[in-house]
Amino acid sequence: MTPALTRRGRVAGLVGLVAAASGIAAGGRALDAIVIPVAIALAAGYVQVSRVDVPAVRHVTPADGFVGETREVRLEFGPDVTGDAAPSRSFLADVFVRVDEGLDGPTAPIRASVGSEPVSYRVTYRERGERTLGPIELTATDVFGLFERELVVDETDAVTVYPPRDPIPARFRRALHAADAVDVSRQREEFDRLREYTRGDAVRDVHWATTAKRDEIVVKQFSAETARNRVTIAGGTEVGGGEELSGFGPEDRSPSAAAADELARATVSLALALLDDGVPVDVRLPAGRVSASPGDRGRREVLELAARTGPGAVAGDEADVTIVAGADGARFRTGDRSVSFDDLRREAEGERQADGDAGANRTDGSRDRRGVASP
Amino acid sequence: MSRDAPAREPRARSDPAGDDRRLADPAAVGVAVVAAAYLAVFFEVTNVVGGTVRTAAVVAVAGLGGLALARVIGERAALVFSGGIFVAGLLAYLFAVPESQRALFTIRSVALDVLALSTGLSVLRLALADVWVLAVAPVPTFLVGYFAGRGRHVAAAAVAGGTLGFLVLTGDAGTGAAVAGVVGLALAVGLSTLSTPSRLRGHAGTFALIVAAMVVASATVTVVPGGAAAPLGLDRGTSTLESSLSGGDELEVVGSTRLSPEVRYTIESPVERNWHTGAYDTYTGDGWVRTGERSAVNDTLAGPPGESERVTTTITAEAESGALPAPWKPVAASGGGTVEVDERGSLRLAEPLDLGDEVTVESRVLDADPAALRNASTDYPEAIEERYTQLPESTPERVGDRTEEIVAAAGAESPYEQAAAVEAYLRSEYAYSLTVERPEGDVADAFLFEMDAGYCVYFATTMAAMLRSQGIPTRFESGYTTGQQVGEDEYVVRGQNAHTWVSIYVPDHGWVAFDPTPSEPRDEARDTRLAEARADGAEDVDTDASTPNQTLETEPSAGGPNAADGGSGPNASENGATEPVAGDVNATGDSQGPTAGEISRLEGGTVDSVSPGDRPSAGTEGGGSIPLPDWETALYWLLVAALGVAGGRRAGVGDRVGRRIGPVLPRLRRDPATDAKRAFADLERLLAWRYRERRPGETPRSYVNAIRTLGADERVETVAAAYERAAYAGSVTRDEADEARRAVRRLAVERLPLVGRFVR
Repeated sequence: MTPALTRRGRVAGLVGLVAAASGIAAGGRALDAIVIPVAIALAAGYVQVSRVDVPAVRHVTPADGFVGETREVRLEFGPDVTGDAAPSRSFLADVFVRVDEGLDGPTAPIRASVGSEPVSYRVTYRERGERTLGPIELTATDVFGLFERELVVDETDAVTVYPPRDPIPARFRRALHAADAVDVSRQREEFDRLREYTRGDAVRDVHWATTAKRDEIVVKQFSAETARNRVTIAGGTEVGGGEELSGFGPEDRSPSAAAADELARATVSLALALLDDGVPVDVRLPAGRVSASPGDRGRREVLELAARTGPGAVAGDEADVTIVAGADGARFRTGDRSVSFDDLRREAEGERQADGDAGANRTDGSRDRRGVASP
Repeated sequence: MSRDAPAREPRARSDPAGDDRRLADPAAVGVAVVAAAYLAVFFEVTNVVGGTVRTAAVVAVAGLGGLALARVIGERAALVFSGGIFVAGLLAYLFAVPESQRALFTIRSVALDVLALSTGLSVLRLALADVWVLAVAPVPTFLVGYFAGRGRHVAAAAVAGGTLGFLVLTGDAGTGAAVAGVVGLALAVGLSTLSTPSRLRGHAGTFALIVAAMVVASATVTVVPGGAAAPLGLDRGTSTLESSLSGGDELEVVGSTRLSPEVRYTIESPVERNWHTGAYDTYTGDGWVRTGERSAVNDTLAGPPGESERVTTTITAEAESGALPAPWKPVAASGGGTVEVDERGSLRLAEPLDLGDEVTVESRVLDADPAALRNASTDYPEAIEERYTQLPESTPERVGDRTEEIVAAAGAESPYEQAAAVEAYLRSEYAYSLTVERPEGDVADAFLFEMDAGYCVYFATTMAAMLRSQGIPTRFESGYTTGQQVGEDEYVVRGQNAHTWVSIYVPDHGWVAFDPTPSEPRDEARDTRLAEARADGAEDVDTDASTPNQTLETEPSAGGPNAADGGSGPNASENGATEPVAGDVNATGDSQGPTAGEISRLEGGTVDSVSPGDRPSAGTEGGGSIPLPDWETALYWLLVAALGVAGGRRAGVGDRVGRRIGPVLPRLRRDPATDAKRAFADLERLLAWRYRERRPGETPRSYVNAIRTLGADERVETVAAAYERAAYAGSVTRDEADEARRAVRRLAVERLPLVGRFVR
């Protein structure tokens, strides 16, 4: 786009013209001191703005995160390869980043000096899924703001926003795997094999008999993560029947989308709770399936699947837990029992309060964050 | 910063700390500069018309009130409120204006006045300018304070800039004020655009460069056609040499001036006088302004209150002319189209006279007994006293003190005697010169205490200020001296006869003229100029009657032999020859009162050019005057230098020059190894500029070899070899290092533009 006068620029131009006209019509007075500076400011402004090129922009994408989290995003301008040319290329601009509707981006343009240093802004994750940052609109201007020029940088980047996670009561978790399998004690029940000692192994696990026969120390390996304890979770949404709830919520979203959100939320809550317990999970959702073992990678696989998933029927039938979500909430079905996600959430809240202090709360929260933010 | 601005905004509104942040914004400095610029102009006006203290108080209240209300009332309310103050102020002004003038206010006349103001009618020329300033100045000040208090610095600066712009249009704001205002406005706008630290860091240089360019260009370039302001709706078409005498209602004292020998009028008159064209009432410290309206002459005007003689004068225009020179006091005119009379009783032409136009003016010249003038009362009419004893508030006390001394020394008591004493003092103590430098500050004060020579404008201005300091109603008169007498009762008046003098008001007699300018040197200057012009064969310097070797030629023996006798008091020159006025009493310093002869003294062949407001003519003779005073010149060149440096830096000239000059310059010798390495580094820069840079990882040897294939001569190899020995073997000798250095220097010199051509 060509440089256009801003309102301020139009006023300045008008003042200059009036002054010049007045000078010609009714004598010079001190009008030179108005006409010349206005002309200089306008000329300089035009030159400054017209010399601007669309800069190369790099998004320093923030980490993926849960709904409700706020992250700082950085934009880096200008190619770093031509180092010496960069400083003169810098120009003033209002930077406005268009973001996906599932994100809360900056509401006002960021006044920045493009090219001289990076610009950062905050986004708040509102809805799960693959969310795009960009394109970037730049309104280049001169030092007096007399001219402006719109530039669009078609640079987009994506972040994955995970569904929110709720606590799942311990009672329910334990019911899904052997009650004794939870916590450390469980691991010592099942002897797996003997192996070489590595640093950090407990002295009590040393298998002295074998160690005595060999040159090296041999320890007992217990089977903590056995296939026997793997929990399969299958999820889906109730097809149809959601139309009567179209008034639900402030967003104008279809009931099936709301059901998918509920499904994702319930799945993530349960799967992460199990992974935190050290229990591997198989998750089947309309968007696909993952087999996740405890650890950051497993957690992320589950979160990404849940972030992506849309509405759909439950796939397959063999599952320890089947989650069926509607627009108003999700239900867990284990065998012949069925419990609503809302009830579980309430129960977990109660459990947490029973635990008492806010410290438990905080630990829980920090665990969540660490698990997601570190990969 | 702007990211969380929406969040901070509501908090700042209730937080008093937010106020500090806003006023501490650098853009506030710009607002302050613009506001100071327009307030300075207002105070220049009040300095002349009075009421500075009062205006300052009101303006301060308005500004602080605006600041205080910034957070209290909304913008719409503030605009309505300031509109209210404006209307109330104008109403107060309307009621302050005398009733007779108030009747003249119609929508049309007010609109015409606004048009006239915005096209160059000085605020000083408004009736009751002090009240007008008092009514108007607080309004923008309130808004400036209000917007600045809200952090809207651009709006605040725009209001202040608009006010200053209006004052530029009225001609009251000079270039200095306008430039200051523009710089302030640029600061406010630029700094609010560069509101974030990163923006300021990256672009302050560009910003400073543009502002400096603005200042330098404003002081250097002229794009708007120059010349005195010619307010629309008033006084058009009078921008010739004597513009100040005919149309210009503002007279600025200028520096050196020149004489125009062109013939203007032929005047037939039974009396030999200074021909009056106009008078000024308001002294601004650096010039004169006349205020008030003009009215059409319907009837014969009143003559002077005392005894007077009826004189009929015929004026023939020998060039297009906007003035009507006639003996004081004109009462009627015929033949010159519409004639108006201003508030001082001067006749003013509505349309300029064309070549050959003939106007007959009837005058009543003063015919008073000197004793009567001496003994007249000092019971001045109030309006006269108020209008004609005005002095700028900034007039130094010493003007009055010196006048008292002079008057006391002369033993003068009555105003008439005092005027004669001052006139005698000025005539005797100061020399006549057309080549003077326009003094800084108050002209009268500067002439009296710092200068020793000047021309009529300086003499008359100083005398008027001195007499006013004694409470004597005095006015500054302009017109022409008698001119060259070419026949009985016939005079040829040229441009160089333009002259100024003063007159004092004597109750029951009217205005009595005094001429403080020494007449003899004035005549000499006139004669020289006329002789030059005649020798050059210039056109329009003579009429048929005035051409030399005409038998009728009789130069009036003006000035008298003792007119400019330094030191001696008596200098009244009685030109009784054609003078009907009786009374040849000497004006003396020792209380021998001047007489009606004083009046006659005003005639005589005289030379004096008044070119106030006639800029093109100023400074063209006598070496020319420097347009800028010293400190301004210094500032100007400082800015030019800064501009050059900044511009050069932006264009990267410094780096380029450094790269090319660096190797040529002698350097401190270090140990051979360092020298050899440095020589190679310089060589690399030279070659990079000429051929290509050394690629990363490329060894000096392979680089030099590559460059050799590109056309460099064998000297580069010497340098590379020295480098290799220094860097890798560590065994470079002093000679080898020096050899390398010499080679590089020689290469660099050959590369230099111009110089290189001779070296090669």
